[in-house]
Order: sequence, then structure tokens, then C-alpha cells
Amino acid sequence: MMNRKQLDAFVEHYGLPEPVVRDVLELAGARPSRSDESQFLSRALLLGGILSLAAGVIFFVAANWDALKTLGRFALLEIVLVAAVVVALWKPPPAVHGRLALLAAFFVAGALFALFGQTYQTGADVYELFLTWAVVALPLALAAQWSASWAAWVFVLDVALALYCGWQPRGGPLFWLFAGFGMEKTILLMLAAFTNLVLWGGAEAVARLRPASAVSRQLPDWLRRFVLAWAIFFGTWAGVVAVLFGPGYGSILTPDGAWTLVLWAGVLAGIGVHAFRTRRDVFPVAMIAGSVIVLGCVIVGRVMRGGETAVVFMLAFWLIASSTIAGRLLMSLVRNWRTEARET
Amino acid sequence: MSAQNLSALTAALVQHGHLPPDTAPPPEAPPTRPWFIALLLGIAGWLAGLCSVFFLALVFEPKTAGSLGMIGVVLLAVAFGLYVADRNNSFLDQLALAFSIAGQLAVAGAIGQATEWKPALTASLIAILQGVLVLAMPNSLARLLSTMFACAAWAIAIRTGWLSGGWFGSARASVGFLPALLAWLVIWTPVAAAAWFLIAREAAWMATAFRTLARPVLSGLLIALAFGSLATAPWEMFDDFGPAGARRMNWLVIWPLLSAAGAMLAGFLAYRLRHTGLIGAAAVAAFLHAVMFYYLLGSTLLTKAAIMAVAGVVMLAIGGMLWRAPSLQAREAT
Repeated sequence: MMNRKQLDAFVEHYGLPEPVVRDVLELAGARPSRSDESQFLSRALLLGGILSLAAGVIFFVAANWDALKTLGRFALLEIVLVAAVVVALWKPPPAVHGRLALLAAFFVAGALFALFGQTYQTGADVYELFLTWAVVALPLALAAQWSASWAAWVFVLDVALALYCGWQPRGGPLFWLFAGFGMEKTILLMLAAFTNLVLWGGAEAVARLRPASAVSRQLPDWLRRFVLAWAIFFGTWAGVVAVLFGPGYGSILTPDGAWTLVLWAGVLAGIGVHAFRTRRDVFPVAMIAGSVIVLGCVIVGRVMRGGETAVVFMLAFWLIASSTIAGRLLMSLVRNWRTEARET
Repeated sequence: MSAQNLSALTAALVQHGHLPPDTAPPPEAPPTRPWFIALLLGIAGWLAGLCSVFFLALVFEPKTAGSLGMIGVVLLAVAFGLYVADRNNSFLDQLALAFSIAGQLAVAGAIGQATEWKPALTASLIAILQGVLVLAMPNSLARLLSTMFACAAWAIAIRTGWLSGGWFGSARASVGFLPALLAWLVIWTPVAAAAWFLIAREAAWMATAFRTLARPVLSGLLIALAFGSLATAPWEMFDDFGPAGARRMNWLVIWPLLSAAGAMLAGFLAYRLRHTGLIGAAAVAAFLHAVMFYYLLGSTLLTKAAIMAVAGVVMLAIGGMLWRAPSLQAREAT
């Protein structure tokens, strides 16, 4: 479908009057019909309603209401969970009701874990709640067969990884798994990045090898971009930590920090090679550019001598120069890859 | 079946008698900048502007509002010149964006100094400045950003002028339900109405040169409607303000919920433009508003849980009614 900029240029080129522009919008399918709008509104409201109800349940657990005893609280959440599963069994996915019900069940499952931790003071760290939630609710995401459920699952998993990598609490499954290796924060962040890269790679493979399959339909472009964005976020975070918290005398990097940067450069190169081979989506290249610009800023801030005046000048220069180069490269890729896609 | 490219659209217009026979399709326009590239360049330009203004402040050490304002005006003039000089050169575009942001920050600082940082007056003058820049800057990204900043400044002007005397005064007072609701509506209804009007009259302004102004303004209004209240909300409400028993109900707590509704409206309007990037942005904004609602003080979590549950039931009921419409059922069946 043509976008508004193309249509604006088209109208300007022929100098079309208003009545004809109305026809242009109609013929180009640039305006949704009443029926399209109703469908969009109904889906948005149903999804919004489920998410709002789920938020209500989570707020309710967090409120720790005295008037309702322990049994009552668990019973309330479990009734909602069972009701959601019953609706999903009654109208199973891919029916909309089944998908919405399973999404509701996904959130209520998280609220149940939170209530369990709150009631019995298990001493578990917050990241453990999110990690357990991601593991136990995986079947719900699988059963829903829906990109929105997968996005929620990826979000919960990555919040768990971010909480663990960011604060490195001494407890829980990830601590017992990695504590013996004495890993630095940078390596843990790289592992979080690799987890997302594996998910992204799997989704890309399915989308390429079986584009018409039911699984591929659950993994649209926006979801794959979402997963890749998390991977780039963790990797860039690792790079920033490596540069900012280096020794600062003689060298700005520890050996682990240097390896992290080399590894991350290799990963970015790999993502770039994949993007240039498939020549379909510019988003991965834009993410690489974003990561390089951020790391460049941190490196400039760390290595520059000459006081803060020189540092802010160099930062401004780096930001303008690097974003200009990135913008030119990315737009040329957009142009070339779109032309190639049209020709094939 | 809609026309998928310019050639098909030209042929369709010829068929409808709007263009003479044998009209050649127009040359291919340069590709539109995808949202993520615009975001990358916008953030980089904004940060570069911030660094530039710091650099100039360190070099010239302006002490008075006049000297700061002079630096700002010169930077804005240079940005304008760069935009006019070469509108297709990406380096000049980025440089102009950085200078423009730096100039806006300097002028805003000068306005703040001149008004002794009186919130409503300062924000009102910044809103006017941004309005002038929307008209003056010959670049769509600059216009979009200025529209967003104008809406944000307008929101801060109304909030601080109406509900409290200081930048961070609202949470200390207990704002009633009606003033909180009315203030939100006064701030955001004009923004939503302007976006709605521009979409309703899209064909009319597309047919004139006004499109180069209206298109970025429309995008800026939709982004402001979705995200604006996050930037202009009473952030001090995250702080504790006294012992739990002494807390009073502060109805400013409903602002994030109203803003979530505003974000959903922005998403719907973006759908009418078939703009998937803006739809996604509106969904993210609605989520962030819900998170903000959780953390804002001013009400108990139990009350918030009840409000969310009622809002959820209402949305499900309306969504369900629309869903049961015969036309949608027929579409789903196919």
C-alpha cells in the first residue's frame, strides 16, 4: 500500500483538486472503510479490556487487602484463571475469544505467583517471579497461537533477565547456574543478548523457510523486531558497562570488557550480514547503527581529554556525523531493497 | 481492490476521467523515511542539540536572559538557513536539527530567566515560540518536533496555571475530581479535535500547498496526544507526601487513565491514516500510562484495582457489541 508521502507527491505532481484527491484516497485504499474501522475498534477495545482487567487483578494483589483472607485471595485469582481457561477451551484459538482468554490467563498466572510470594514470604527475588512466570506461562503462550501473547511472554522473560543482570541478586536459579563461573556483569548481559538472538534467529528461520505456515503467522515482522531490539539493548548495555567501568589507568577496558566489545562487534557484524543477505528489512541495520552511536558516545566521554568543553563538543560532533552517515546508509538501503523487492 | 502503486493509481484516475488518456505515471518519489530511522535521527539530533547548547554555554558563559536569548536566536537563524540551503543533504539536515534544538533550549532558558521561571508564563511563552517554529522551519521533522513541544508546553501551562502555582505544587494540594477531569479535557481536547479535524479535511489540504505544513503537524499532534501527558504529568506524585494516614485523595491520579484513553484515540486516528508506526507508538504509550497509574500516589491500590476492573468491563462490553455487528461477523467468517 502506498504511504501518505507518496500520495502527497502524486497529488502535487498532477495538481489535483479536492474532489479528485478524495477519489485518490479511495482508489489507493488509504482510508479504512466503516467496517474496517469497526473491526479495528472492536479488537482494540477487546484487547484493551482484557489488559485493563488483568491490570486490575495485579493491582488488587499488590493492594494486599486486609478484608480478604489468604484463602479468599487465592480463590479469587484461581476462579478467574479457571474461567479464562474454560473460555479458551470453549472457543479455542485461533478464535479471538480463545486468544483473549489465554492472554488473560497469562497475566493472572503472574499475579498468582506474586500473591504466593507475598503471602508466604518465600524470600524469592523479583527476577525469580518473572522467570518462573515466563517458564510456567509458556504453554499458555504456545496455546494462544498469537503474536500478542508471544510479545507478552518475551517481555516477561526479558524483564527477568534485565532484573538479574542489572542487580545480580544472590539467589534463584540463574544465580545457582552462573555463580560458580564468577562471571562479570558484561558477560551476563551478553548471555541475555544471546538468549534473545537465539529466539530471533529461530523466528527468522521459520519466517524464511516456512513463510506460509501457521507458526510463521504468529511471528510477524513487528514481533521479530521486538525480540531483536531486546537483544541489541542487552548487548549495548554490556558494551556501555565494559567501557564505563574499566580500570581507567593506561587502558579504559578490563580484559573481560575488551572481549565483550570484540564479541559484541562480532554479533553486530553477524546481524548485519544476515540483513544484507536477506535484503528485506532495514530495521536490524538501524539497530546496529543505534548501538554503534550509543557506544561511540560512551567511548568519546571516556577517552576524551581537555575538559568538559572538549567532551561536549566532540559528543555533538560524533552524534551529528554518525547519525548523518547512518541516515544516508539506511535510506539508500531502503531505496535499493524496495526496488529489488518490486522487481522480483 | 485498491491501486497498489503509482502506475495503477494513474491508470485508475485515467479510467475515471480525472486525468487525460495516455497520462504517464509520475516519477517515483524518494522513499519515505521509516519510523525507526526517523526516531534514530530525531534522538541523535536532539542529543546533539543538547550537547551544542552545553558547549556554547561553557564557551560564552551567558549570564543574562538577553545574552542567552541572543545565542538562541542566532542558532535558530542558522538552523533556518541550513534547512533552506539544502533540503536534501542529510548532513545539513542533522546539523540544522541540532542547531534548532540548541536554539530552542537557549531561548527557553532565556524566557525562563526573564520570567523568573514562573511556570505558567514560561510554558505559555515556550508554547508560542514552538508555534512560530512550526510555521517557520521548512522541514517536516522540525515541524513535527515543534508541534509535540508546543502541546507539551501548553499542557504544563494549563496544569501549573490552573491547578497549582509552582512547577511541583499539584501533589501537595488535594485536587478534586471535577477540576482534575476538566483540566485534562481543557488540555487534550483541543489537541485531539485538531487531529480529528485535519484527518476529516485531509483531502482538502492535500490539494493545496498547506500539505507540507499539515502533514507533520498532524503526526506531531497524534504523538503528543499519545505521549504528551507522560512528559507533562505531575511527576512529584511519585514521591511520598506525608504519613499514609494523612494522605488525601488526589484526583490527579486519574490523569494517566485519561491519557491511556487519549493514546487509544491517537491509535484509532493513526489507523484512519493507515500509519502502523503511529499505531504501535500509541499502544506503547497506553501501556506506559497504565504503569504510571500504578505508581502515582493519590489513591489506594484497591481503588485503582476497582477503576481498572470497571474500565476493563466497559471496554469489553463496547468491544463485544461492535464485534457482534453482522458485518463484522460476516468478515470473520470469511
